[in-house]
Amino acid sequence: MADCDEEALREDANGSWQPWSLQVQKWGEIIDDLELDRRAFSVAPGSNELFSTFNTALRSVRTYLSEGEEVLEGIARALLDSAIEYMEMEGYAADEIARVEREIAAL
Amino acid sequence: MSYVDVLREQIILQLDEAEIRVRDAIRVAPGLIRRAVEAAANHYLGTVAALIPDAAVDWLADQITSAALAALQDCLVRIAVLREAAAYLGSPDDLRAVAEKLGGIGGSATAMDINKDALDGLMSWDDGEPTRRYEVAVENQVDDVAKVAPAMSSLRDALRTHADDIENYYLELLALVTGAVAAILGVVAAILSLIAGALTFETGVGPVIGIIAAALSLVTAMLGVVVSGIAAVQLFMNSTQGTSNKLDALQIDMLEWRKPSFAQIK
Repeated sequence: MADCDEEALREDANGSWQPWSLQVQKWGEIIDDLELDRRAFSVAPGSNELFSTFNTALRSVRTYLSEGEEVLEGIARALLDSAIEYMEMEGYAADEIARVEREIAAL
Repeated sequence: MSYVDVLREQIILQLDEAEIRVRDAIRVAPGLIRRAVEAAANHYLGTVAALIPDAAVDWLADQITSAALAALQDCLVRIAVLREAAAYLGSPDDLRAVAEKLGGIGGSATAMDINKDALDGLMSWDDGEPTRRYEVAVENQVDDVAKVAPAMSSLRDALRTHADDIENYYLELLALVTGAVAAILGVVAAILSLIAGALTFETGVGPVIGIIAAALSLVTAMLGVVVSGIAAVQLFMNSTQGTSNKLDALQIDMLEWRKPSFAQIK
């Protein structure tokens, strides 16, 4: 017999994974808002290569954060989905299940 | 105005001053040299009664004038090179501001505490495969979040190092320009004082030798300037390359957030 606390799964999703996902999303937005043009690196020899390398690295990190944001949100979604499954098995009222479905939609 | 802007302004002011002095010298030197040589010739004619032909006076004046003007023109070329070096600028303030934000992300990532024991859902869930997949997903996130801070540190450190390099470059350039300008003004002063000295009939043929020596010393000084200039730029290139290598070492290609099977990713 499975042992599961639906409320605890929802709390993991809404209280941890979703906020973590939003936090990672915020990091990405900070990177998106960075204002650093070519001139800031100076036009001295070698600085162009550094500018290029830096931007490549920054873009990769930005992609990494986007992936992380999706994964963390995906875990929250999976937890809420699991909670619904257990709620359905245990005969929860439709409006209670609908509420969790709205939580998934809000992710 | 940033620290580098202040340094750059000091450099430009010094170069402006040097250029004005050199151009003034170029303007007045030919006439003064001619008069000085004539005066010296007349002086020796009167004192040692040796005839100095006009052609010899012309030749001597031309030689000295050519040497002086060549030296002064060389000064202008060096000033132009140093002006170009001063135009490299960049913005350490902007670099540091961005570094600060990246460092903030790293700090926030470090503070993100994904702890299995604190996840009541996980701790209370016992349903075989789904539970195991959730647990693996949690462990993956702990590892992948932990990679954010080092990546941010690398980016932050690269910017900070580059900002420092730019400032050091300008500090070195300022010292270089200060030395070069002193050398240039020294040559200008030597040429003009030589002429004045000859006109007062006090120094005899010494000034003629002196002006050539001054021209030669200028060349020597300028060689030093060029070497120093190259050294300053080379140092900057080396440090920039080092910073670039640090970013390469970040192994960005390896940075991939794993996608656990438990997660429902859109």
